[in-house]
Amino acid sequence: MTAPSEDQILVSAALAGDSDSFNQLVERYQNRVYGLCFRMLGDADAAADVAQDSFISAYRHLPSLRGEFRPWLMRIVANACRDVLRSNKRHPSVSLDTSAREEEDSLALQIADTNPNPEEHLMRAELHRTISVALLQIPPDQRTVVILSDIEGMSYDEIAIVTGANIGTVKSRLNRARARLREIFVAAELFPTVRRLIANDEP
Amino acid sequence: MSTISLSDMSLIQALADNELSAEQSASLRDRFVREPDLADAFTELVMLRELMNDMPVVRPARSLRLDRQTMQQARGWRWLLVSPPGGQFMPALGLVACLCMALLFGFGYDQVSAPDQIRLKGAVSAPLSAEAPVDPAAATNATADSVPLAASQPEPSMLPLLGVTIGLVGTAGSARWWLRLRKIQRRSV
Repeated sequence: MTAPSEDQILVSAALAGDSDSFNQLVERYQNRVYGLCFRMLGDADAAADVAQDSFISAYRHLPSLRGEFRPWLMRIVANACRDVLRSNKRHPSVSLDTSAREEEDSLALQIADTNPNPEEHLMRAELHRTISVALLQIPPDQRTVVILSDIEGMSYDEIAIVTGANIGTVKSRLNRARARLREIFVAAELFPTVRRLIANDEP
Repeated sequence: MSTISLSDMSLIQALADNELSAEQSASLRDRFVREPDLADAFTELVMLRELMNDMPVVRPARSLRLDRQTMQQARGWRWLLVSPPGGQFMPALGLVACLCMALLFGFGYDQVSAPDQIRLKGAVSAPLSAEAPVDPAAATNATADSVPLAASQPEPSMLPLLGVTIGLVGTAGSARWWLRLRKIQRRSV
């Protein structure tokens, strides 16, 4: 029999009435949860609200948890983000005057870079901003899969659990998402910049 | 700008994710020599993955910890079944519920007297005696009324079985959950 993971221990302690154990889980996963929300929604305030609501929902449904905590939590988060995106589509609350530049600035403010070289720092910051904005241009179901796979480093199996889709669908969505992102990168002529950065990294 | 078909994209994605067999990989790499666009697309895909993987961590501006009041409000009915004090006594409560169901439906139903059973089925409540005037029309109506009511109730002999089954399933489920919880807690000490 396998030993319980640290998550399982914290979950059982939370179920036994230790509220601090659940907050330890929150601290452990809040960056991942917020990161997924932020990259899905592209808005810092909305992402924080959805992330907070997801943790409350996870706490409410903790007694029904079966299996691993992380994919279960990320499924709650992905569903919450999808609901918000659907709701925004039906009832757009953002002003039509909001420019893409404002969105880019919002994204840029969230991303801290510790690179000491100023020129390279600027190039990387621009690159990360472009990726974040490009992510917002692909359909939400593809976006979820590519974030979970290429940013969060989840396996196909885990992504299938999180999204509730089968592995074939996960691969197909990932394929389409990457193809679309590549198109955006080629159109923005970003790959020469990336090649230059890689060349700088090499000794 | 080069245009790569979706099927070729899925092939190079499979190569990047190490999902192709050795033969398929070799065949695709052969194509890279003949088709530089495909080779470029593969290089760009690998770069794209690395770029995404290198994306910096984003952090929320505030802590997302839940306070006690929020936790208290978020607790649903399921929490009553698992958390103390209710959760500790859940298997015992399940057993008691099982016994109550058995007593109520198993034994209690058989104790009901014959006239009560007739009344339950919607028959006239007047005492049945030889002197009572018999109205054939009323008797016909009473019989007609009693049919749908009797038909809507389950068979009396099934009720104890149903009660005991529900009780046993509830007891077994809660005991399983309780044991699992205790096992994890014991091992975590």
